[in-house]
Amino acid sequence: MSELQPEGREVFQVGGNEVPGVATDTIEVSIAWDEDAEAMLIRLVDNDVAIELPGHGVPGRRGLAVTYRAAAAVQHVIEWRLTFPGRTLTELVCSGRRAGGQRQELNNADEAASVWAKSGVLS
Amino acid sequence: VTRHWLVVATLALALVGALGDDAAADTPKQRFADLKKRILAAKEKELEERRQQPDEPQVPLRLEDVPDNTAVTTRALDPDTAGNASSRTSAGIKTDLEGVEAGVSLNPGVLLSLNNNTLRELSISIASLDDSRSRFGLAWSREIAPTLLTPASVGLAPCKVDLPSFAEELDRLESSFETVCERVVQIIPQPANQPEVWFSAQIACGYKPKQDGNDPGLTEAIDGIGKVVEGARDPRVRGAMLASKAFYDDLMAFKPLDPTSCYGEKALQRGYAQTAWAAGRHRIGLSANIDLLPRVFGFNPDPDMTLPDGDVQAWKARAEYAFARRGNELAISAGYGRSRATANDELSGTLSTSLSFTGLPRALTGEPLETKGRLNIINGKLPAHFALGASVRADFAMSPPASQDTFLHLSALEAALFVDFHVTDELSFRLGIPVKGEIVVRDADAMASPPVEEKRALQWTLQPFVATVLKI
Repeated sequence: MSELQPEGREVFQVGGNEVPGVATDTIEVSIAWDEDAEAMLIRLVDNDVAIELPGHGVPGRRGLAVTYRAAAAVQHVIEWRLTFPGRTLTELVCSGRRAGGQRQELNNADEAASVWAKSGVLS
Repeated sequence: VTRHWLVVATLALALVGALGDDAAADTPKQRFADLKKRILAAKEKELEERRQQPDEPQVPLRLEDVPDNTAVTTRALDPDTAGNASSRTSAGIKTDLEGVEAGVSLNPGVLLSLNNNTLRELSISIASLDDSRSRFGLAWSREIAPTLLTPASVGLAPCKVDLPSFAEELDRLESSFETVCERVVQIIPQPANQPEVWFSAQIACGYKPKQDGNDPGLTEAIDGIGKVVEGARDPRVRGAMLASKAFYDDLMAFKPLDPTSCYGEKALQRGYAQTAWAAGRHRIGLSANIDLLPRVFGFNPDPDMTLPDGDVQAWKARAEYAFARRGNELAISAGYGRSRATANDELSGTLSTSLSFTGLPRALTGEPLETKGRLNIINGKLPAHFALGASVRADFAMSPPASQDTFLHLSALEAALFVDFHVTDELSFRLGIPVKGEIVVRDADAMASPPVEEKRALQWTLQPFVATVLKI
């Protein structure tokens, strides 16, 4: 299942780490970069729990977005690994938001070669 | 009386609440045991999911922009056209325009760091040629390379992840966690700002009971502890933190297990270069250039001859294709243009073709170019190597003057044997032995005895040695 963000980017809805009977947060994580080039999100972790991504990851050109449900928490420590072998991407920004909440920047980088693996905290 | 009952009821509720709190709270040791159990279970699940991932499907070839990886960039398609020479992305300026006394070819999109692929693939060349002509050229080229996005697609094996070692790391972390909780977190007063993070840290240390929606895992707990400790202004807390700094730093340095940690920049770039080297890369290019005669004005000592007025001496448009794989490269091109042999001639049409092959790559040093069928990348670079090559370019006049009687109306031919040296990714050059044939004109002379007719024929030049810089 996927839907479109206002800016036209496809949002992948992926398996989360929800537990039946436990409160959950719906989180949207977006990563954007300047180049008109493809990259793939191969790992996404929310509070130590890996978010199941479809196939081998979520691909995107210029950017990508995923939504998932995670066990409710005061803070979501989100880790990711974006791969783009042989390429250099610039102005990378990862942001996140809870459903209906304000978007927060989780981390950024001026430039990354072949891979961008970082973490950030969504309050 | 009612007021008294209310006070008693409130106190009773508070007492029950406090007792409940105490009953649900843990010690830092108990809470850490729980956090450790949870993170190990989560990591085990993640590793299992990665093990269950299906093999990647075959990667299809797709039109793609050229990655910034010079190790596998194809060489110049045809130096004459400036269409594809050199590395567009790493150098931006090249120096291999044939017949050029001085000139540059540059990629404005690369130099201006534009993100539009098509603009980055355009190059402009400006040069002064060896007989006072000026050349302006425009070229575009694109590579068709495999789209490789994942570690497996570039041949990287799953990372070796050791869960027992991670469990041992957690065991070592336990004393730091307990010490920071007992000496620092416990004495931090509830702040006015972000009380939920403070609660979260207290819950993580076991001083407050877990709540629905506030039961932090280990990474969140450590992040929360870091935030409340760093945010505390109480001198007592600062003092306690400094006294326990080694434990605090140890806790903050914690890195959760990452089963993709081996997929770093170097590993991915090496994998990409090796895969692209074996898979091959196609390249297409279009180019056009125009050669202008100079504009000469002022005193003309010979009124019978007109001075050059910036006329077009030649123009040419060309389409090119190249395929490179494992250090072998084939390039062909075809084009059409119009040119004149002398300033007094009319422009006449010319068909142009070229063919170039480079192959048999061999290492220049003791390091082999390939090991076990994979490109041998040492410290991120290819070993220095060379390759042998041959090229031929022929131009055919479509409607030659009657005075030109050449085989198949050949108006120019150039053939060369060369050796390409790839010293580093930043420097490669070509040593060649070209033989070149060009039309020269013998003017008619009716006054001579016997009269001399105009004749146009090929004149050959053999240059024993030509060096061309392919890339700086």
